[in-house]
Amino acid sequence: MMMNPSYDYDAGLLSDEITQEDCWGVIETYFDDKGLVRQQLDSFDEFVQNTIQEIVSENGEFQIITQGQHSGTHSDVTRRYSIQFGQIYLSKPTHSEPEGETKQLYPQEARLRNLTYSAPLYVDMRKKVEIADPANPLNQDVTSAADMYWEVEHAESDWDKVFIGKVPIMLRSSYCSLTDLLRANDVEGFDVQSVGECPYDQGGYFVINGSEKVLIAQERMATNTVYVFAKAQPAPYLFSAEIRSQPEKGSKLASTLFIKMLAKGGKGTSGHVIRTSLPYIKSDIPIMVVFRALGSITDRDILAQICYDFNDREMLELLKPSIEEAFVIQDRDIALDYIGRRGTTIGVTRDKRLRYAADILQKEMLPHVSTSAHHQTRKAFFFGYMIHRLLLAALERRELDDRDHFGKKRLDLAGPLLSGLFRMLFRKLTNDVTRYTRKVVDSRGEFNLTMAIKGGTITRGLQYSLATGNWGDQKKFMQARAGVSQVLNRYTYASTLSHLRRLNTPIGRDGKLAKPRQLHNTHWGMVCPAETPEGQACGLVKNLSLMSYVTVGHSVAPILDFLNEFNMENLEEITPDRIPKATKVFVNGQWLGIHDDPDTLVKTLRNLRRNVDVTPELSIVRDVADKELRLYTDGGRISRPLFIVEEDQTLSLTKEIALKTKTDPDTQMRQCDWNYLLEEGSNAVYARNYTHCEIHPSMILGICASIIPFPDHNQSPRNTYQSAMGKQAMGIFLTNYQIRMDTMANILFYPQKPLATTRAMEFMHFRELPAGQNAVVAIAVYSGYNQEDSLIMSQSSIDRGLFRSMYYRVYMDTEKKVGMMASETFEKPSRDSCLRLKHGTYEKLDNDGLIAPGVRVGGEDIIIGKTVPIKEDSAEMGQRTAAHTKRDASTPLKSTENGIIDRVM
Amino acid sequence: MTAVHDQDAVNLMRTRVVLHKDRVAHPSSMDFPHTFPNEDLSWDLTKFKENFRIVIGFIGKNDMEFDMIGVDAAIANAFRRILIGEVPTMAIEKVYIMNNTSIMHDEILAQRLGLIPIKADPRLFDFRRGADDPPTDLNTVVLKLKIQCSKNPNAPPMAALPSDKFINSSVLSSHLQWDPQGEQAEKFKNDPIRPVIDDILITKLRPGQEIDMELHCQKGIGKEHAKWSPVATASYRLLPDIQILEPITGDSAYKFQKCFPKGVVEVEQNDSGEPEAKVVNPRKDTVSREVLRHAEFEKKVRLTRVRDHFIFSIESTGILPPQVLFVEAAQILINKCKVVKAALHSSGAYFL
Amino acid sequence: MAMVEPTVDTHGFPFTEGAIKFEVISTDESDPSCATFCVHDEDHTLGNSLRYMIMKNPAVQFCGYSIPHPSEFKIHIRIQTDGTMTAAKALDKGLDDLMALCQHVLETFNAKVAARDEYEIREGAEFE
Repeated sequence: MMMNPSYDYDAGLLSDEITQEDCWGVIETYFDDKGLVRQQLDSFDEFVQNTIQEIVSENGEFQIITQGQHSGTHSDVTRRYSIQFGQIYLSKPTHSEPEGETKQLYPQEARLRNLTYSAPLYVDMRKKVEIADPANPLNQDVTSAADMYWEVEHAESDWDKVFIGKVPIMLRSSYCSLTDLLRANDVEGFDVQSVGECPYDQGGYFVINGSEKVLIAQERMATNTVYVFAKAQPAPYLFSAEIRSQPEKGSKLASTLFIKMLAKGGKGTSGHVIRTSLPYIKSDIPIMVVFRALGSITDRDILAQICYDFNDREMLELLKPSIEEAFVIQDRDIALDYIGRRGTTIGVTRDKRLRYAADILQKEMLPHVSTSAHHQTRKAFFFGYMIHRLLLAALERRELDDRDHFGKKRLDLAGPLLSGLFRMLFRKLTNDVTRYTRKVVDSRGEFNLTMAIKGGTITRGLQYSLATGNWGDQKKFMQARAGVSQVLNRYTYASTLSHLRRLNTPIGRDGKLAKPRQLHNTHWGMVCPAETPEGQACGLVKNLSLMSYVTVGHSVAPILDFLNEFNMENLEEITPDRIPKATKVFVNGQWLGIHDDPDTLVKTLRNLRRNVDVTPELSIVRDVADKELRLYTDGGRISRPLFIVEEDQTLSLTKEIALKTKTDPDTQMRQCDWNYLLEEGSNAVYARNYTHCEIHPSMILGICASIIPFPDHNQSPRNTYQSAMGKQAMGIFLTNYQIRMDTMANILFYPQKPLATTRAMEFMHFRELPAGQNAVVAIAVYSGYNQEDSLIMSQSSIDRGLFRSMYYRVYMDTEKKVGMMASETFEKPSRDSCLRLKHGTYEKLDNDGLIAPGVRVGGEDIIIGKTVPIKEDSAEMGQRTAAHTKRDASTPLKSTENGIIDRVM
Repeated sequence: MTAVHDQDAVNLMRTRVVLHKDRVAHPSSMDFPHTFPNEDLSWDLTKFKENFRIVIGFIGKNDMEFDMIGVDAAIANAFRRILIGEVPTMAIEKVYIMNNTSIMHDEILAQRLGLIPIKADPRLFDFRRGADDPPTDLNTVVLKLKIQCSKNPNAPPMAALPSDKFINSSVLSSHLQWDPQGEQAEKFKNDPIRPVIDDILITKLRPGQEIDMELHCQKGIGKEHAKWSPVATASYRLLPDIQILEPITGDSAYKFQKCFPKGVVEVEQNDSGEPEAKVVNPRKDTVSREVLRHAEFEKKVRLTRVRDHFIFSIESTGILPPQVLFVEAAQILINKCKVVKAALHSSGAYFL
Repeated sequence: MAMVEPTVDTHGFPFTEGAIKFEVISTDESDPSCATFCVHDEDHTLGNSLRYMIMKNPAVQFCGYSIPHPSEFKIHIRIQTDGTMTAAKALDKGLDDLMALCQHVLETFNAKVAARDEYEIREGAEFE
């Protein structure tokens, strides 16, 4: 085929048109800036820099009150002891030798000495003792201790920087020792070599007891999102609206709310009634009762909060059975009582019951809307909105929700995973401190800080979960999630990268349901369409696409401030009849208000985001058809960069900026916009107007699929197979393999960079650390000397070094303590003093019991000589003679292997 | 070579290997007695001598090309195979490592060293007959490699290249020192033993690293290990013969020309003043069969190769000149026959 | 090349010394006109060229060779004659013919190399 000679490939260089080459320039800056494991690092940094402090502050105070003795003496006072945790401090990773010396730790040392790469955590503490004298006039008639007047008895005692435990540090995160080296030395990456690191290693994992551990991102359903589903008939109900509600801050578990439209009307009612579940309430409550309990009394008010528009006859008609059902309950107290009676408390006064019901509505129902008092209107509106959504689905005006929509999925990375664990452990620590303090107070002993705080709780707890992958308490490991932490794959560099970008869906592997395993449209650009294992975990284990990123989460406060300033009308201040015409504004699933000019609002918000006046992580979803504007700032969203398209349908990236890229990456990135997945249907107005533009289609692929040349010319499962096999390729997995001492490692003599490369390989250092060789292949003729699935290789190529490789294996042993005094000994066992010698040769050992480097070994040769002392009284099955004092515990080489001792450490 | 137009089918089949679009016809030889009636094709040395020709194309330092005409592929192939796998040379076989602190492992280093061609005339050495045969000056050449890398005290202050900053940062084949044993110094004084090429990179060193080893070269053949192969490659191809069956004229003549590498076909004015394609130099053709993809040439051209015309190419590694290698190869084939003949005669079967 | 794993350290020495080079297998004692010969330490190099030379013999009705197994370094040559000559004689003649052929090739080649004005001599070419 002839190319049109007038076509000039370099035309783009001269004209102002953005060429593909410019796009690759943008991609290059992106990876130069972020690397390939940014999600891991950012997530961990967020944990270290903010979350730890939050958790400590959240659980940071406890009090112990001792009741007065009523002995009538002067000392008859109530005492209150309180302990507060304040500022936390995290040091650099350190290691303390048994001799007591503490020094800075680098990851390579941790790997070689089976240490944990972790940094000590310190906290400021204050202790306060107060007394309340019942004789004090201020305390007359006060019953509850909390309301008493307290005086400080003792001057406060402060402790600065109390050690509370060690936190494993992610390599190359901001608290990692390597980061300092990189910062101190501007020569890109090349000073980490001085501490034994490979400059191409990108971090993102932990070193626990010498082994490298990755935290696999865990996929879950987003909280605070309303889902409407139809129930397959026959079933007790037709439709349901569900939400898992969780407030922004705090550790509370998500509380689920179910609104159901029953299939059969109750007695004496016509049609389908709607009922809801409430937390701690045993039976479903008619929705009208809930509204009344929330303070919306009249039918009219309630209906307005559900369907906003009184001309909507169809919807009102659907609500009729529900109104009829709740006809007998017409005021707030009766409604509360109705709810309270169905609660867990029995046999209490009506008064208490009402308070109980009101508390549940305030604190447990839809906590993400609010948990404080006087927000019933808001809650009623949100509850109404959920019913509205349910009715829309019942009336077939809105599609049912899709469980597998990737926009409604969140990923828990190292940060959130560790926070959960840390929260649990810190609570355990404070509980221990409380228990100890109570004991001290009761026995009037001296408060001893080192006795009170057990640093081991956090240190061991974190280490246990990271080492075993059982996420949760060690005592109840059955409930814990397994496989969260995995040993980092070091077969080849690409397999390491791929492992660091993996995500797991924790649902039963044997589940027959195919849907969650299928590739969804919304996976575009976020997870790789090809890279997934075959078999049980197919489609459940996924891999992030090259450019996708996981948000860490930001505070909503600045957004709320902005919205209030920008004429958003608060829910409390509007009449429901305005809602149908205006656009509803949601922030992190919470309905805040309405806005009359969403176009301008969206435009302004986007500009704020693009100028980084609000967090660039902010997601703005404008749902034109449903008149909703959804904003998100929560963590765990998957996002990716896109080019911005201006209103006049031109790229905001200009040629000038594209060319400047190489010198000033910052300008560049500002022309890219984070695009969190648009919700389905939002683009129902099939826009002739574009807002964003793809940077490059090949960025939908993950690490392994990016190595495949021309993947778009392959049958799709072939790409999946290659993505799995590429991880087993042999090459050079890191440049420091000679000093790493991995238990097993394969290194190719002559790895070659591929003749046919992909552009993305460049960012994965595939040229620097290649896997494989370029072979010349001939396919023999049909019916020739062929045998399926086999090869004939040229002997002379093998002679000349083709596909030659080295295999390393590490044998390790330690002198353990036996009983109190004795210890195992490394030595060359001799037959006269030693029992149960192995049949391999001991001749190759030196006198220190170790073999020398350079010795050729094979079969079952002994390479580490070790003896265990035998107890005086043990007869060892009659084989023992007086001369035998020891038993052999040497390490032989694997019987199938042979080789040369490379290094003895 | 002029095209042969009026060969009858049998003659064509016998003398040419014809290439069709989808297959190659009659690739194996058929010049045996009883194959064709009334024809005596039995072995006749005088007839062979009449037919056999060798035409040397060129002889260079390390390569040569010649045509061998009038033999069967079985014979030509025997020569080729012997050249690659059975002509002996000297190569490093034993590496005694006293010290190696370079980053390259002993195993890899040894493998690399083995592949370095050593300029030592293999005809002047014996094979070492197994492990019990002690190494002597008649079967072993000793080389030494002792090298240390250090900082260059005279390096320019801004030096960036390792070769400027350090001394001996690269270990090259020229660093191999011959250590003459016994009478070797006298025997090879005119042609000292050395690597054929001086700038083969063996490994790289950095200050403080050193290599100290003794290398023993022994005589061997390529069949055992490719390092003993005296040739980079030895190959032959059959002389192409493009037969134009009907004149190809006009525009298609140019198209026809484009189907072949440059210089194979030229377009000339024929008697009626039309451009016509003529085969000028079929030797240059790669026999790509491109021309057979075009329907318009289907009946007009026949791509063939001359069955008994071998264009031989020998690329020596530089240990022995290429023309010497061929002589060696022929001699080895004769020796093989002698050995088998002797064995046959002593086996008793001969006298049955 | 034969894919023979060197079992012992041969030091590059290609021949097994003292081993049997030649065997006769599967011969009908009463009919010397057909036999299979086994030649050790040989491969296609000798096998195919020798087969060709033997087939050139009009008394030979059939000649073929095989490598029975790729990891055994030996060839089998099967010869069947029309009875005017024993199979062993046919093999012997084949060897003679092959040697004569090689000798002629060798002489022709040497003569042609010696005629240095008949071909191109490129830079660096060495002659002994």
